[in-house]
Amino acid sequence: MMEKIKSTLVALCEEMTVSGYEYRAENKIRELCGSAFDEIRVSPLGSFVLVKKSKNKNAKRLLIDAHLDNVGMMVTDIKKGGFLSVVNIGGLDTRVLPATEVTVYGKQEIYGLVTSTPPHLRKAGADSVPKMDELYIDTGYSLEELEKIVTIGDPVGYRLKLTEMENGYVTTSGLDDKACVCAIIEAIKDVDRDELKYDIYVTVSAQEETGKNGSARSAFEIEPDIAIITDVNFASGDGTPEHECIKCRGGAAVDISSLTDRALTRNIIKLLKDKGIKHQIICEPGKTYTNNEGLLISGKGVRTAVLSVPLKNMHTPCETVNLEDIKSLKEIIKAIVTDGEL
Amino acid sequence: MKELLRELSLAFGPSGCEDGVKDIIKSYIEKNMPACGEVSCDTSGGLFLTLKKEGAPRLMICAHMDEVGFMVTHIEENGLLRFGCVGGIDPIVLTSKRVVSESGHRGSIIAKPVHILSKDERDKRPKIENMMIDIGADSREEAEKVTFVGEYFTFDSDYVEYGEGYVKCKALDDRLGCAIMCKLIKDIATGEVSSDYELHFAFTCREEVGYSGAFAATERIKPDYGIVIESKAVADVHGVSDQKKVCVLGDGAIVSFADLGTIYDRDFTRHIMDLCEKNNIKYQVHRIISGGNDSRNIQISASGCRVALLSAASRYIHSPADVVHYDDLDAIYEAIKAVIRRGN
Amino acid sequence: MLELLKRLMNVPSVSGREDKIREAIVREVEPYADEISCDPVGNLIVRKKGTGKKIMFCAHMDEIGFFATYIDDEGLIKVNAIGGISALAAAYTEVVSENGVRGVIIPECGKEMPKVENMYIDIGAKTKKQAQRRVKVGDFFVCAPSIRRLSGTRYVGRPFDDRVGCAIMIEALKKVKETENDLYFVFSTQEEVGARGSKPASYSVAPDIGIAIDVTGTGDKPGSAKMAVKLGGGCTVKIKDSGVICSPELVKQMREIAEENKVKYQNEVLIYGGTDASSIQVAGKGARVSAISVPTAFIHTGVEMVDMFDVNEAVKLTALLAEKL
Repeated sequence: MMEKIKSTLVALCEEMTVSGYEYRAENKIRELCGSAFDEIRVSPLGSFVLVKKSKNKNAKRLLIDAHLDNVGMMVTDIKKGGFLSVVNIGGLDTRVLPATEVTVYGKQEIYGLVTSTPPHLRKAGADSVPKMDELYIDTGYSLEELEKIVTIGDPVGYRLKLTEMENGYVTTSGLDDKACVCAIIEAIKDVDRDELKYDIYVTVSAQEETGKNGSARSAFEIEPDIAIITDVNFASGDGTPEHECIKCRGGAAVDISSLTDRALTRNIIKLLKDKGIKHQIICEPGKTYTNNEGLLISGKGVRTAVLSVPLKNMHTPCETVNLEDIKSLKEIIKAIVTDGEL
Repeated sequence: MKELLRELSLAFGPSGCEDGVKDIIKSYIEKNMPACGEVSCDTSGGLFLTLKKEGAPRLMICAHMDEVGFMVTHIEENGLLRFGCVGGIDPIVLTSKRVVSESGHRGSIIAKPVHILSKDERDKRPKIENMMIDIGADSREEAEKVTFVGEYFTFDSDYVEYGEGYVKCKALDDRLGCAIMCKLIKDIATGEVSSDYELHFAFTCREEVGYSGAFAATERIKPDYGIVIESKAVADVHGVSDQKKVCVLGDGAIVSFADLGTIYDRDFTRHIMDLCEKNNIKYQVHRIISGGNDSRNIQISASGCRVALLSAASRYIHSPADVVHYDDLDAIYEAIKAVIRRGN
Repeated sequence: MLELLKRLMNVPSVSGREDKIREAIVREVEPYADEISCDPVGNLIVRKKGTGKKIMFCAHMDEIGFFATYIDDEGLIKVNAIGGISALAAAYTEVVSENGVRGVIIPECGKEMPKVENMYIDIGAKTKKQAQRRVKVGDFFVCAPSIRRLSGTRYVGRPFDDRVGCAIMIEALKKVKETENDLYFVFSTQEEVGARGSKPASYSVAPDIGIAIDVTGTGDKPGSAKMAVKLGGGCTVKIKDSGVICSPELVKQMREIAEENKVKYQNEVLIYGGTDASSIQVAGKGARVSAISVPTAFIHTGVEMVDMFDVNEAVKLTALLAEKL
């Protein structure tokens, strides 16, 4: 089963899905879903809605969300000597950028490197971190050639390369939140229609990193009774204080928050306990900083719960997750859609 | 040369651990110059080839085999590896970069995540002592199964040709020098290039940490002339004024009159420039006094020698993405070819 | 076009006080519209009926201004900002209240960089009483409108932001001939305080496609942001601003239509600033959105500068999109 999770994850992580450009993954999503869903549609904002209905005519509508998009950059100008100026899409930590490899998605995909100016020439001094507006993408082309390939507004993403580490860890960019997309697709594929207690609407949503809009707009249209949001959450090990995060290889986590539905969350925890499914708990007294906050108040309002997969080095080119935790989320989702009393 | 440069750059060889690089060079020489010269290794770890020519002046051509890297200094209880840098690395290029160990285990360099940094920390260049290597171990025990204190790591970086004639990899500093020398050796073996000097090719080690293997070599060889092939940090990026760029990639071989370690032999350097003019070889003059290399040792060891430096302009040197331009490598090769034929 | 612009720019209309400009626009569009309605937050919705795709164009009627908070013993009026006021640009300029009272705005201290909360409006009153007869706490002020030609096709004045968008929509509405598309021209309220008015308007129109018409910055003046847009280089097709990433599919269509019809356009990535497009995108089930912008230098000052060439290209593109999208 781990092999299947890994191959799906690798397939998802090969796709460039900087916020706003999720449409580029349409073929891949359709291919991965195969015939497991009744319908796959694309929303105006670019989210994919995967529908799989229960045999039960009176089944409630359950929305399960994971976002497809990730942070990246966009070309704002083309400069002499083959350099591009860029702006961030979503929250980027500029500390990770110097000498980072990227791909520019112009008329063709071209290789690029984020420039790194020698310390003594940095605007705010040798000991400073360069800001977005002093970093450029080095493409190695002359201005004339570059203008034939790149247009202002073209997206730029980290170069996609998934590396396997020890003990089931993998690292690449975009695991936030493709780890969860992978778990959901694999879970729903595994479940027969007869076993489904709910009509399932999976939103592989767009534009989470830039305002959490994609899933809420789809929910407006779907009008679900219940929504489960899956996203990554900070894992210990990268320096985040232990009490503020979850542990890698501890299984997916159930979030307890003032912005999620208390009864729904309690029912999920009870289900997991009854079935002996490994999980952990994370407490977020205020916001969960996931699509939850938009979904909650979409349409006439939705009962929501949040599940998290532990992830290290969020929003960097070396986001790191453990495959075990993705498998855990998959098991939890399977249990919910087949046996959940939500 | 491109294929060889790729193979050499991808080889694992931080200072003091150059064997992988040395083996490639050795087998390349053995394959391309069977029994033409004499290959030797010295105890400092360098590799030498001498092409005897009785009565001719001795010219030593030198490049270093080692690259910058990391060494594990401590394994934390949570399985993360503390490390020190082997050679000078600007910490700004380290956060979130992939690394690979001597034994082939992969990981990444992690720093405190941005969401827990204070505003002040966020604007400050991260410090190496606050970074660790994560190889995917969750305890010291797990980590010790695949690594040990004292193990080397280097950047995990592939060889990419991009744009118009640029190439990116780790360790191009100074595998490009090694590759140019290898090509010269091969072309001499085939008779394509001839030399009026007694040539001593020195592939040295431990340049990045300052204890040059070149010193011992020069003492032994006692050359009359020395040419060092290096890569040179330049600021050839957008946003830097032309003057501060120092040199530009693609504008040809860099000749230097001085750096922080050496004032190069004026006549020998001028001679090289004249040859470049005469043979239409692109060259540029290094426009700042900075950096240093093996030359400082070569110039003053034994009874001293006339030394010149030819280097290739490099962007983002000592990072996972050294960048150089192929045209510059060709220019360095052509310049040396012109020098060793004294009839020129 | 110029005459229309002058008529629209001359009507002060701070965010939340858009009734007068709305009346002015109604007079302009009446002969060309199939339906005209006004919603509870004051948006003017002008429809040209069709049976095809629902396309919503949107330009905002409001402008930045001041809110009178206190009248002191000397008859000077303390103010707060409505929208993104640049105190530097506002200092020592003429202002006019929603009731037509004229005054000047002056900073407390003549040397330091002014802040809006340290500024006063002097309406020439000698006493508190005199001032209170003409201005009430809660009255809105704007910087005095103006429009002048500098040279060639370059004009300066205020508020081009976003009367120029309103004018473009009106001209485009006049130009549109036969189309199946169901067209909505929304003249929105309260954009300057966070694209508020266009939210309910987008919800009730529920368009398939939304296109905002607004001003955008330029990168070719001293101190301007790092962007490639130039004054006089044509209108823009928006790809991103701080509030929205536009639909790549729609952007592609817009570029194609512009190219086929030889409309001169520039690609716009605006780093700081937003438009109503962000609201349209996230109303209801969501819509595919982008924007057409007029490159404008010195936005939110008394000398906003536009090139009429860009304005005319924007009119052409707006009309073309209405017909051909």
